[in-house]
Amino acid sequence: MTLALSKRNRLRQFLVLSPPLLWTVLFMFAPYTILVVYSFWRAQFPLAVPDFQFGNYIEIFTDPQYARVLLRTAKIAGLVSLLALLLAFPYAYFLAFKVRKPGLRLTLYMAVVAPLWVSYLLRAYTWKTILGTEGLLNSFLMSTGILSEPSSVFLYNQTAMVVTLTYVFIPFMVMPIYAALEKIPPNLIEASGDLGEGAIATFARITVPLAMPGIVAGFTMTFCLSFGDFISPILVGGPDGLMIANVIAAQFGAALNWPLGSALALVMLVIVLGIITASDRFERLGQARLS
Amino acid sequence: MTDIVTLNNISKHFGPVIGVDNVSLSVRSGEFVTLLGPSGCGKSTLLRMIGGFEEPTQGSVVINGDDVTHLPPNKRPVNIVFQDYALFPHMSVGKNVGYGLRVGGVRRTEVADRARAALELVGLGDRFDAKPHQLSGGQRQRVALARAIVRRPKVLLLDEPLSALDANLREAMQVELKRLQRKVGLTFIMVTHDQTEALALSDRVVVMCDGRVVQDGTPDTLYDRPSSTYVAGFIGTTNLFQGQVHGDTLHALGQKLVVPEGLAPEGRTLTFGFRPEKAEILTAAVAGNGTLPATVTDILYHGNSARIVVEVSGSPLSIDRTISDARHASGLPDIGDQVQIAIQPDRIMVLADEAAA
Repeated sequence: MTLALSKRNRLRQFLVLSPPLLWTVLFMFAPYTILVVYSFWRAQFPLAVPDFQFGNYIEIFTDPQYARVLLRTAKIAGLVSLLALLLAFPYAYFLAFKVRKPGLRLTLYMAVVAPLWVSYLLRAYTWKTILGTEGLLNSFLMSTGILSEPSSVFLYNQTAMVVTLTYVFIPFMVMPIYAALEKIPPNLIEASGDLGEGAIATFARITVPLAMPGIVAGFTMTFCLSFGDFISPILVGGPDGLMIANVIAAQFGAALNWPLGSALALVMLVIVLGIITASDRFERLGQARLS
Repeated sequence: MTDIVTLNNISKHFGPVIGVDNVSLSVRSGEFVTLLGPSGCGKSTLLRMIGGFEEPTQGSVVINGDDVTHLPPNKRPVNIVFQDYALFPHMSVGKNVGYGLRVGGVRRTEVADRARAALELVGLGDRFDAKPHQLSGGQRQRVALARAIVRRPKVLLLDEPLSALDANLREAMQVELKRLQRKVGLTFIMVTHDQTEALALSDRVVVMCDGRVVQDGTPDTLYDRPSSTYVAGFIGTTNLFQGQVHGDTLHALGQKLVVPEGLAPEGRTLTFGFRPEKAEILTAAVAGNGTLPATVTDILYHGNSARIVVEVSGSPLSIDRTISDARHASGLPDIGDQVQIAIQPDRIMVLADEAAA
């Protein structure tokens, strides 16, 4: 009886789970497998020939141009995350602790989150119009007399990319930090004051440590999203602004070297997974300390 | 003894809402004072103004001779135990207790020593390295206490310190709190809505209602001589009724009661009352001067006592009878019995508020 029941349950479970399972296998594992397989093939006109060799990986790790692109990508993603953190933390802090009216708090929160509903491409493109020679920034600087003619220094460089990516991904920094700050019971702050600490020491000893899981989560998300970005370099990046995703895209496109592209994609995947795992570990550690 | 805390005509308004309304209060050094009242009576706000978490709209707060009205909490020689303890979740018990010592520039090794000593004082010397979440509610309470007393404040503030504990633990902690206060000799100001807690622990109880102090006195004064029906109703159970005094006779409940002469102004209709244990139930046969004929309507058995509800001229009165070995439960009357009740004349209370004419 129990056996039959459990068998039926298992069948039902299987039926419920199979569509998402099928989806995952078909659209996640299969492509990754293909990617892994391809990364060992050899590029040969017109496409590639099956093989099992490490040439693609050796090329990635020996040719300095790939290391350069990876480093540049990491640098840009790091700068974006840092800038986003420096902007997002005060904002989230202000929202969580200083804004008393719930309506205003929601409005200000949505002001950051709402752009996520606008196409990512559009948001990145906005900065092209702001920074361009006929853009907002130039018009402003000229109308105030700081510049006499439009300058082209604002667009098509790494700074423009960092600015654009920070703007695009900052919601992913604000959200987890705000969530972490909001969870801090106000009386912990009061208790710190009661025990003799001033505002700055309380911030350093209580607020920041308790917000750390949110900071790490925000940093991880912003970093990984920026790391894999490939639109911003195209829209606002200059000749020195190519990121790893652009190089991968080029291998599948113009360069027509799918095996190398696959190997690069896998290297990038490992890097990102490594960061996510490390951040997850850290968060778990924090949770064990907090709960 | 000198006054350690003085509140001068303190008021606190939250927009149009008056939280605390013109309260003046002095607390002597070493005293255990309790602010008692229902939720929303302003007692917590008053405590928070002493701690520095709220600034009074009017009036001044003087602690240890210094006007601290506008000083933040970290500049005041007081410490508070929060209702939910507010332990820092990311720090060990020892770090929590030592938190406030680092501020005073105490050396690291001494911080640990003093934190350990404070933890030993509350019986948690062995949990120095534990995290708050590994402790039980009662243990967290003790850590909060240790953290507050380790800085040797002039005054310890306690905001409903025992309300988060279950009944058994609460009683044990009451004993411990009292013992701790004696041991460290600190001034305690506690806020509670639990009248038994207030009576059991305090040297003095300040009863509050709607932001004002309605009575301020020792626990036995509050119990035996409540100044108003509000206090009488809030502390313990009181049988209330209206009546008029003529000489040594109180006309009430359609009967005549014997009272001490001069208990209340002649002939005025006032509210009178007596505590349930200040009356006795006698058999109907012994009707005497000042006893009231009554009918038993309910009996609530409590083990060591029983509450007998009787009706006198249509008004219900509660009377408690202690049950000792000599006089066990079988000696209780039955529901429906006709009895006589005798109220101890000197235990009849006059309550200040005017009775409805």
